[in-house]
This record gives sequence, C-alpha cells and structure tokens, in this order.
Amino acid sequence: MTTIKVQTITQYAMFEQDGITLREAIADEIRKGNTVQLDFQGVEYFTTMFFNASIGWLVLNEGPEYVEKNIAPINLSELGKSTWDHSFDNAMRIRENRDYREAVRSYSDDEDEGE
Amino acid sequence: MLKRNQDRKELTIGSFDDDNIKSLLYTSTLFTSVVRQMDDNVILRFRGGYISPALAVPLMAIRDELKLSGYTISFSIKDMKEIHEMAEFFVHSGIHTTMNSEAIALIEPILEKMNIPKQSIWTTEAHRISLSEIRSGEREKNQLISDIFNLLLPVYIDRSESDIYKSMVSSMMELYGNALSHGEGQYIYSMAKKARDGDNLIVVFDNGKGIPGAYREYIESLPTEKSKEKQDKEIIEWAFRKGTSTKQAEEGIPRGLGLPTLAETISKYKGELGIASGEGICYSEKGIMKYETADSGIKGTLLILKVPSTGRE
Repeated sequence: MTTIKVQTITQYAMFEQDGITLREAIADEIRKGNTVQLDFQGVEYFTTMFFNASIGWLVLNEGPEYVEKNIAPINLSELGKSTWDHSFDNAMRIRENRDYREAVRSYSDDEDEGE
Repeated sequence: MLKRNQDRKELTIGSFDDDNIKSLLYTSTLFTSVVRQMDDNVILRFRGGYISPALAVPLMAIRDELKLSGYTISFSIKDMKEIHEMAEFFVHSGIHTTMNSEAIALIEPILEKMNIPKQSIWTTEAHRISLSEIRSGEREKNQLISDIFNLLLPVYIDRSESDIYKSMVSSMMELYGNALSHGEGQYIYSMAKKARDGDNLIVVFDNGKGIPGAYREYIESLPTEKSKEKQDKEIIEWAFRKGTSTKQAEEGIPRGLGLPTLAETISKYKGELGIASGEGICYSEKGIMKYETADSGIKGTLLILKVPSTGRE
C-alpha cells in the first residue's frame, strides 16, 4: 500500500484542478499495482468540486468497486468524510444513468409524466 | 445642466465632462447629490435608506469600505464608470436604486421570510473579486482563499468550533466555484456581517448569466427536441436537486452538488438561505425550501445566507 499525503498536493481540498492532480497520482499508483492510502492530515477545508474531480471521476469512469477496493482515506475530518460521501454517492447515481445528458432533460420529462 | 451652488459647494445632477457619469446620475436616484468634483474624484452623498443588497454589495465592494446611510464618499472617475455600468445593469434588470422602487420587492420577500431586519445589511464592508483574473490565472488560488477568510472576518462564529466555521469557508468556496464555472460573470461580490438579531449574514452576488440563464442556454444547445419551457423558479428548484448540472460529466467529472450541499450545510447549522436569479426566488422556511416567481428579474445570482452566531460577541 502506498500513502499519498494530500497536503503535499494542496492544503485546501477545494479546487477542481487539485482534485485532478490527486486523481492522477492515485491512478498512477494503482496502475503500478499498489493500493492507495490517502492521508488527509492537515487538510481542513473541502468542497465537492475537489472530490468530484478526484474520487468522483474514478467512481464515474472506473466504478465504485475500483475506489472501494483500491483507495482508503485516513485522518479525514467529519466535514471531509461528509463531502467525500456526497461526491461518491452522486457519482454512483450518475454512473447508473447511462445517458448523462438525459439527467438534465429528465427534469422536463418528469413534469410531463406527472412526477 | 449641472448647477453649482457656490455657497454650498454642492453640485446637483447635471452635466459633467464624462457622459457616462452624467447618464448614471440621471438614471439613478441612489445618490442624493454630487457634493463636489475635484480633479479626478467625484464625491457623492448617499442618502440613508433602503437599497437592494444586490446593488449595495457591488457598490460597497467597488469602494472597498463603503458604509451606506448618510455618508459622503469619494469615488474616482474610474470608479464612477464602473458604478455607471452597474447602475445601468440594475436599473434595466429591475433592481432599481430608487427608494420606493417596485423592484425592491424582489428582495423583500426573501428578507421577510427569513426574518432579516431590512436595515441590518446596509452598514458593512463588501468585497469584489474578479472572476476574469481567476480564470486567466492572474489571481492565484491562495489569494482566493485569503479573500474568503477576509470575507468571513466579521462573522461571529468561534473559530475553535471547527466544524461550522470550516463548513462556512468550504461553502463559500462552493459558491465561488459555481460562479466561476457556470455564471461567466465578470465579478463576484460578497459581504458578511452580524445582523441585528445576532445571526451572521452573508451576501454573495455574481453578475453572470444566472441559474435560469445557464439552464436555458444548456437546453438550447442540446441536439434533441427541446424541453417544455420552464419558469425560473422551477429551474432554481431543479438546481437544488443532487446531481443536476448543466456541465454534468464534462471531462468525465460528475457534478451537481454545489447548491444541494450548501442547503444541507445551512440547514445542519440551523441557518437559512435565499436566492434570487432571473425571475425566480427561493428561500428556506423552517428548513423547507420554497420557490416563487418575482415580479421582476435580475441578471446574475444573488444569494443571502443567515447563520447563527456562536462563540464570541
């Protein structure tokens, strides 16, 4: 198992670009055959943008099992865990809706179908 | 024409060398009078009273520390040009600057339903951040984070009570992120202060496309048959659903959590929120979001958060 200290990438887990950087670091380790421990020590602020671009992308494109099997967060605050869970669940829901764009249009159809 | 009262050294609305400034003064009654023009500065006296926070926030931000209500403030000509643009935008959008403007009704329902005393917003500092600078990379991430910390300085939340303060910082970043990626506006304006009832007030405004505007633009871009026309309040309700985003799955990134997460955070800490965008208004009432149609609309998105104070007085 390899440990990635998130603080070496960013002190604030808030920006999409930092999420992309983290995701690439994770994917790189997994490609080498390693599982990854994400150490959030010292990271206190979180946004869904960051987790969407990192964990969310992996859930959407590789599947939730890929993340659950290969990635484990540690030293993640309650705020961080809550944000992580939001992104994970959201990505899983979107993955289950195969036509992503229809997720937007389906709102209009919901009305027409009387939902 | 401008008449200079030599005795009082006061200028009433009239002519200036710069047509834009003249036009601003004719179309706006926000300013009681122009007190003096000296070189490249114009001094305005603001009459105390009721001004839409949507206009108050950017006006204060332009000057950095403008306190409304009876103040005489000096603006540079450059400032006045920006104020002119802003006033024109608000006048034509329906958020007027007149004392008895019907457009104030757009904000009043939010304030009333959130039990926010109307006067509580008007004396504070405001911040303006250039979204263009963030997009171009001129404004670095750390500066933006500092901006958020500075915004929340007046907020009465004990920093040692980590969860609520860090949640608010994170929530502000979610809002700024939304404005950056969806709004396509030039600036984001914000302010935070303690309201008279003791709660914290945070107001954020971006002059972008607005939630209904971004949604309609996205629907128009779809190659398939267009959906039935939606009212702005319905579009705002849609935006509060998890997983809904006009940029869903772009570059493989799942989106659609900004507003729902904000609503959950505010509800968790027993706060309230209200949004005005286009002709749609939404506000929280006893933890339940309500959606209404305003009589007139605004371009952009205005958001008001009310968060209970904790810790220090």
